[in-house]
Amino acid sequence: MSTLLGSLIAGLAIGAPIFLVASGLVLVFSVMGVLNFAHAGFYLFGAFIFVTLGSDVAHGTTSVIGFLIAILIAGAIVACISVAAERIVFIRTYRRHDHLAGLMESFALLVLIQGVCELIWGTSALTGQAPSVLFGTVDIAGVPLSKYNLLLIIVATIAAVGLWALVFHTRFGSKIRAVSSDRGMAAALGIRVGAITTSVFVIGGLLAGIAGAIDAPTVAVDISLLNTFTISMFAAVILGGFGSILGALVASMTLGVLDSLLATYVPSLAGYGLYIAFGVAILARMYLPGFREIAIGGGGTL
Amino acid sequence: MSGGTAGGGTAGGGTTSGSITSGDITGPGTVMEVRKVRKAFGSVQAVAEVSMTVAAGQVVGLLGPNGAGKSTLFGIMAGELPPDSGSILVGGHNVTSWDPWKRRRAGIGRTFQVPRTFERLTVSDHIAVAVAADLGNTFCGWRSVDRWLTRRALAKDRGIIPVLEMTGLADLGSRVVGSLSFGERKRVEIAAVLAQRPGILLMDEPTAGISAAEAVGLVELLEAIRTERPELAIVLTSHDMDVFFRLADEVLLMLRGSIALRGAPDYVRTHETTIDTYLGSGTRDRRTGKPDGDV
Amino acid sequence: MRTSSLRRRLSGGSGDTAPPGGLAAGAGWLTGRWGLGHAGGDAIVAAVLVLANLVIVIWFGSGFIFVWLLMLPYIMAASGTNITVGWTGRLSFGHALFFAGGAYVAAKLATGHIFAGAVVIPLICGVVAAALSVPLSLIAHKRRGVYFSILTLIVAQIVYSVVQNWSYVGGGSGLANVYVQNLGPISLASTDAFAWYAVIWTIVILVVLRAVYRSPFGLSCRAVREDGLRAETLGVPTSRLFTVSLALSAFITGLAGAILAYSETTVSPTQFYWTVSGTLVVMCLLGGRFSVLGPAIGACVYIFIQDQLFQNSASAADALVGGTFLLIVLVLPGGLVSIGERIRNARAPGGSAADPDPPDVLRELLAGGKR
Repeated sequence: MSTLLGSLIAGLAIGAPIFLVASGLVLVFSVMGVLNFAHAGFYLFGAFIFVTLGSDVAHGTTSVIGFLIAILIAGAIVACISVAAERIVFIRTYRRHDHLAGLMESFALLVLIQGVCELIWGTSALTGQAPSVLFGTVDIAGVPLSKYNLLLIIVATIAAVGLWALVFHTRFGSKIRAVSSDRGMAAALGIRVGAITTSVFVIGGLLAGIAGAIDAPTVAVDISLLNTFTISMFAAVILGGFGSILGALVASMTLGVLDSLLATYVPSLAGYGLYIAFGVAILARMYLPGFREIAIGGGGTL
Repeated sequence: MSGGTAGGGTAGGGTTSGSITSGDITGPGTVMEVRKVRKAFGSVQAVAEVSMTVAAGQVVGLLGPNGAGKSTLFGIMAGELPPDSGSILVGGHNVTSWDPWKRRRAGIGRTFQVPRTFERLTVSDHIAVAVAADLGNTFCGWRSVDRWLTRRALAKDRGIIPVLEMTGLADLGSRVVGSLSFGERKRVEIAAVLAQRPGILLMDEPTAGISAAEAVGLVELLEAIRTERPELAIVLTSHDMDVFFRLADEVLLMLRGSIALRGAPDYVRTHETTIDTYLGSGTRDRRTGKPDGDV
Repeated sequence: MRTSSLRRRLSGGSGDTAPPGGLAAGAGWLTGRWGLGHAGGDAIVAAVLVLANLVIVIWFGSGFIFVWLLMLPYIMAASGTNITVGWTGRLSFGHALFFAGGAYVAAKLATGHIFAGAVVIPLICGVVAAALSVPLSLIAHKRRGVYFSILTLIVAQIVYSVVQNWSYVGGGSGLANVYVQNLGPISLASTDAFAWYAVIWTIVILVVLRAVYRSPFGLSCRAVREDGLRAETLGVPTSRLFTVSLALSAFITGLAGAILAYSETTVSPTQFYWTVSGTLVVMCLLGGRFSVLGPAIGACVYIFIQDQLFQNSASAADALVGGTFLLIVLVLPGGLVSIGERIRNARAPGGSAADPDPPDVLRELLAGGKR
């Protein structure tokens, strides 16, 4: 029983950073209508920036405050990068209504980000530092659970609740939803569409940066992280339905838990979790017509 | 004699093989029949049990305020929307469940209010795609468009040359459509559709968005086409009364999803329902029943 | 050896990035200029490739020829990929599936005794790849562009995972000793002979593609790219067209994969990684996805620059290359081959055709009708 619980928690922790990135991607997609390939690049930036900061800011190992500050700084920097990307690359997408071209541009941006990361940080793997107090296990109901996993879950929960509150219970959120369902109409209603889009990029970038930063202590941070994470990110978005943050949440967590359970109980299939989930989803879509049909209007609703 | 697969309803259906379903047969000379079509979007009944027939060579106009259901009906006729119930019959075939490309085979041609064109292709390319699809050569990958397809089109002599000349695009053949004006694009759209010898043409607001002078030119073009192809039936929507008067044989007024009036253009224009709809019932002189200002 | 690291970078696993390039001109521009017509264009393409091969074989025998032998399969693969990406307008991130799939089939058949293997085996690889594309088309049936892109990406990734763990195809280390069979009495074992073999395949593929581009099918693909609904109302069966165009695209890419396998003499699962698909897409966009020869030029430029820059400084190269690629995508959506057109348009705006030498069907119909 305790292994099951531990495995579940680990799974949710795996899904947490995926959710953070995927939700930002979904948000950006809904207001822009273009899937941003480069979003995984923002995640990578977050990880690299954190690694760089972590070795300077907190001297890593003891200060929890320093750790959290480093994460937030990484997120903020990535948010700025995200806005720069929007201003330089994607600004032309709105005017042209050519979504295929937008997709290609975002892919080109990904290629650039990859090159830049390689230039700044080289090709060898780096690891992030986190305060040792965050490692180890804590006993909950007699079950030893990894503290870092719990931290990841807490962060994801805060993000999920925060996003939900923001999008569905604030005026700002209703403006986002307006822009996402009909850009032109929203503009006609006096909503400052450009500002809203930029804000959404800020949020997306922030989330991706934080995800990267918080993941950095647990993975080997190098360029190949980009490739593998891109797949997880896309899988979560496609399985959850393009327009839905809730879908991204459910999909990310499902993927994470599936991965974790397989690793614990069926090690020979470990790493295939994503593909199994995908296969099931494809079959379900083909043979159960109503099942998780993607409901997307012009730019997607949330 | 009509060249397309529509019209001339011989018993047993049309000439395309293997595609007759449910044996619905429309009367001779009827190109298209709409039978009891309904379509709702959620709680809004966009089309409420509409029935109509279009005969060969007839021009039918659909009149009605925005939201009356004209576009929805159009979409159903063209195959872009499935109806909730009812059926569309063309030339003897029940095409209700057919995809747009298959309906094209049955003889339906369609133009859009905002002309949909292939931006990066030339005017010639548009004609070529249309001709290729018409001749069934869409998947022919080993012959060239300019030599082989053109020769084949000329050999089959489907009578498209006069019509292409009428559209006045002769000098624009190698121009990229993306660089053409709105009015020119409308003509490209019409030319492409006519190059396929449709039995019935569905035109959504043909004069929308062009200047008055261009509109006159377009109407003249359509009149000329009618003379050239007397069996061609047209269904069009418009907000321009002039179009109906010059072209339509019959006008249908649609209100809130159903056909409120049906008749010759003159009849419909002066009918009180039409006046009420467009000008408001308050403008009618209560004594004489005529609109205020009418003597 | 520099080309082995170049190969490693091109075969995926770690990120691939893209390069800038110089001027390029499609053969259409030449034939239009000199009034040579379509067959003339074919002759020019063939002549250019033969000449290049001759020069390289004679003067660059032991050095550059290996880069050349890497370019040729990529020229074919990029051109094949462009049928999906450029002609039909669907951004596919799964063509590594066909490219590597073809390579693996060639590897497996390399030791078998098949009549005229040197010619037949690549064709078989193409057919297998085309067959693989059919289920993909079924799954992606009528899906929006973005869905198709990610779907292809993930399917290719799934195959990567499977191949990595499948001992029949060599698992993680792949297969070795993949050699092309003799062409009758002619041995293709020497580098020079193999170069001719590869060049002839490339010429054949490019000539075929040029013909298909101007056929009703090629035109219909482009029409569907521009406006699928309009094409559908004009009678083009869009779904079927997608399936056929993906199959043709897969066929050519698979065939190219076989040539690549012979060129490298090994195959490895990293060839299935999605970044390889990305590289193919980059080549298409770079050279010009709206033209027939654009991807070929993109492939040459990409590989050439990677090779040159890589010798000097790897990391700076990647960043520079990525930035330039982004610039090109933003500024020259038609790719490198559209430079000439952009200059012409800047001088005399009025929109000439995207295809430098377009067939003017309208004029011919009207002329023919008058006779």
